[in-house]
Amino acid sequence: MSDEAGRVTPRGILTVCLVTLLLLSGCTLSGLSFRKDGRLTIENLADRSEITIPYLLEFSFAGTLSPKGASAFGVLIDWTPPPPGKTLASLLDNDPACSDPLGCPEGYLERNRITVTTETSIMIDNVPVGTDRQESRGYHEITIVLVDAEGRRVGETSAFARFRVPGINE
Amino acid sequence: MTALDPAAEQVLQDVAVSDLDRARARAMLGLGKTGDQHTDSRSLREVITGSKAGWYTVIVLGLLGLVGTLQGYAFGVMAPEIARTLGITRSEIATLNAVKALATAALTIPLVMTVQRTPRRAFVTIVGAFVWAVFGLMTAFVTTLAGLAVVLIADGATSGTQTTMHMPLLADSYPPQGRVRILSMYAGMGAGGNIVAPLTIAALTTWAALTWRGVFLFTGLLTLVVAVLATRLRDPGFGHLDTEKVRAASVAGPVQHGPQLGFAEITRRLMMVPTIRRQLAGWMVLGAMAVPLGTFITFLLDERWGIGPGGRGILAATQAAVALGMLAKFGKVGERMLRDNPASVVQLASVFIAASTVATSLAALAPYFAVVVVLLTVGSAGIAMLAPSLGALQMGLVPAEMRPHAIALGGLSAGFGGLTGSIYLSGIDRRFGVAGAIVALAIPGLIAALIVRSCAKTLESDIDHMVTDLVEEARVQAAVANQAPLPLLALRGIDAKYGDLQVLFDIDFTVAEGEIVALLGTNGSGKSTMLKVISGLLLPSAGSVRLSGTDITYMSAERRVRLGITQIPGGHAVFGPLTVVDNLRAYAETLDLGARALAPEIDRCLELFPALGDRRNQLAATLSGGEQQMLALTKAAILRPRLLLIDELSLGLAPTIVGGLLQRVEDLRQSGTTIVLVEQSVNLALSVCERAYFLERGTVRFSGAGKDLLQRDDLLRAVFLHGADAASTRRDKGAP
Repeated sequence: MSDEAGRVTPRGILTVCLVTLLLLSGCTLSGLSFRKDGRLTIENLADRSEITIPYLLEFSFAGTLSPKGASAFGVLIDWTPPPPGKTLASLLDNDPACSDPLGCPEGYLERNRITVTTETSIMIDNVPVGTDRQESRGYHEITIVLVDAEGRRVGETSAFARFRVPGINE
Repeated sequence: MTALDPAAEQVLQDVAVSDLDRARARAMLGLGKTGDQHTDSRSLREVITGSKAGWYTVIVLGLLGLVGTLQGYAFGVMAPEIARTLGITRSEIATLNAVKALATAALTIPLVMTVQRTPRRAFVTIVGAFVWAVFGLMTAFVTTLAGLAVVLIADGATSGTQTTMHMPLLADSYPPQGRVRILSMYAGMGAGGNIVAPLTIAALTTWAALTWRGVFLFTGLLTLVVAVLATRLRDPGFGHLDTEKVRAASVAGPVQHGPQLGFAEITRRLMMVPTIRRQLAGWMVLGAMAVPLGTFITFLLDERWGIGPGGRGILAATQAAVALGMLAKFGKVGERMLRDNPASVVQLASVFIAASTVATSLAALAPYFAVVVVLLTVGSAGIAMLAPSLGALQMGLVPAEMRPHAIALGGLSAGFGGLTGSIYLSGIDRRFGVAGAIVALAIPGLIAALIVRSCAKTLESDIDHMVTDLVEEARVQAAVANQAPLPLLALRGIDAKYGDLQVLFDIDFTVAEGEIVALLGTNGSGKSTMLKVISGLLLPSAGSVRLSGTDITYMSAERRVRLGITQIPGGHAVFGPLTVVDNLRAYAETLDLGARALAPEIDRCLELFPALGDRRNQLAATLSGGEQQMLALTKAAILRPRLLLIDELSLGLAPTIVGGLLQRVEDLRQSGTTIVLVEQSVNLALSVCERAYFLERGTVRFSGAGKDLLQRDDLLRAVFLHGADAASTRRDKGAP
């Protein structure tokens, strides 16, 4: 890869390029967001706010929901959303209650603060109590993503905010 | 029998290194000064423009450091966004960071191995920069946790070129008299990344509205541009401005080099330098403080003071600006300190560490934000000073070709310390919160300051040892090139220790080709230790071991066997559970002889002792003591050694048997083997040896003709009394 004087040779550069191309084959080139699309916005909760519950969270979506693509919003409290293409229910894959081939019981996702809605508002009436919030330093996190009719995340668009509920998990 | 040639004695005197030689060499390395050499008072600009490398090398390497800071900052700031996009948790991000850090540290070793024989650090830097840029770009395209892990590991591996290659390249590109300023400038450009990074990331995410993918696309492209700029980097060669210059100044003709050491040998050699050991310990403890510090400060600012990413970026930029100012001031002062009193630099570095530690701990408790900013700025500035101060010292303390190794070891130590520190602090954080964790960092911080300060105790002697080795090596190699008569074996100024217990003190020992030399002394005088130093089973803490002029001081025992040195250890020289023939085969493995070539070799050696030939399939453990020693001699003979080291051949054997063994020893000498014979029995030893050395408490008390030693009652009394005592003990135990 180098000559006697330690200079880079064309063969060396070619080798590096080939190896790199091989590794690049593991990456995706389509469907990635390089610029913020700004279509999904939380309207009444600034990042790192303090709220009291119940709290009506409002958000907006500048695009349109369609049955073939993004048909609903997935609202997650204290969950990292699944990657695009995965269902919201996949977050509970390791939950024994969802081990049935038919999936999770009715309403189980909502009880775990994973909500699918076509509305642009949602009532936050409870937050996890007794869970270890050490990692997030007392903040709860709300993330909104786009999902299709099967609850699969669509694209990388998301809205996010952190909030504290005084008196709970501090 | 041969005595040491007077001409060889003269050569040894000629290659000896005087105090003046050392002082001149130190001045060339910028680690001392002499009255007859003017002090280099050039400005940094003059130093840089006066060098062949010019501004290009320091600026390009500095830019690589800057984009490294930028990429690191981008990943830290964008991590939550990355987690939300890829559906990975914060813990997984933290694990990835740890894996990346581990990859950066661990993969420095193969990187170092690629440059230890040939100076291709510039090439590795260029390739590393390109691969690094590409992986930076690939970060923008990953869609899974596994993909991100692969990219980050590769990123860590290639960014490891920065830590291991840049400093040695800079050290060899610019004269040592400007080294601290050059390293300060390089560190300053890295710190400048902390000013550029927040501004750039803010601009990219707000004005350009880029996502994390867009940001990594940008930083990857930027790295690619810098990598292209770096393609004109050329490796200046190992130490031509310092250690090679010292070598060249020590000889009249061209500088010759002996065989090179391998990675493990260089590492062992570095670990024999007390200052390096202390520095590594210091880096490890400092790593425990410095590596997790950033994370906890982020939480402190976020949690207690409500400072978001933007505010933290401004604070980081402020800290970097102050560090830049201090680095600019420190360069010249540091160089003067290095020249006048190198130990004062480590003392100052320890003050920097202690001040940083105290300031940062107080910041966690400060009631006002302005005070927090001031204290954190003081803390970060102190840490920023360490790279040029300790770095310049480390560059001066080891020969140029070993510098990447020293830096890689430092990185590994700091990485290991960082891992330990993270575990230690996460426990404290859970119990006492983030402020408690930062205050707790004072413990490793202050310990690190004390360890670094302790380097001052060993630094002077270690620098002297290093320059002595350089000058001596150059002179001996010149003598070898001129075909000057050199002894087969020459030990110079050997010190050896078991842990903290020093056993050998400043030993000089020479053996001519074809000689049998006796090494005498009472039990515990250091005879066996000396044999271990010669055979490579123990490394000396100071001094050199040379075989026909070749420096073998730090060569592995295996390589020494291939060079022709074989040792028969005292008392347990055979493998008891193996047969006689298998014992010989086991030794012959070293020679890589094929089975066909081995059989006649075994037959040849067994002819030395026909009695053994009759027992070739008998287990060695079932042989008598005399037969076991015969086997030991036979095993040594199969290797056809140039130098045979025999430890206590006669121990516990009847005189008639010993007589036969000594005859075989004499036969080996006749066949061209040089022999060092360690014996407690003076009469026995001097019956075959013309020359002898007498050791007492680890020092040479006598060296010369055997007949002269017999006149030294003061020395021999101890041996005879000890021998009589040992004999009476054996009798008491019923031994024959």
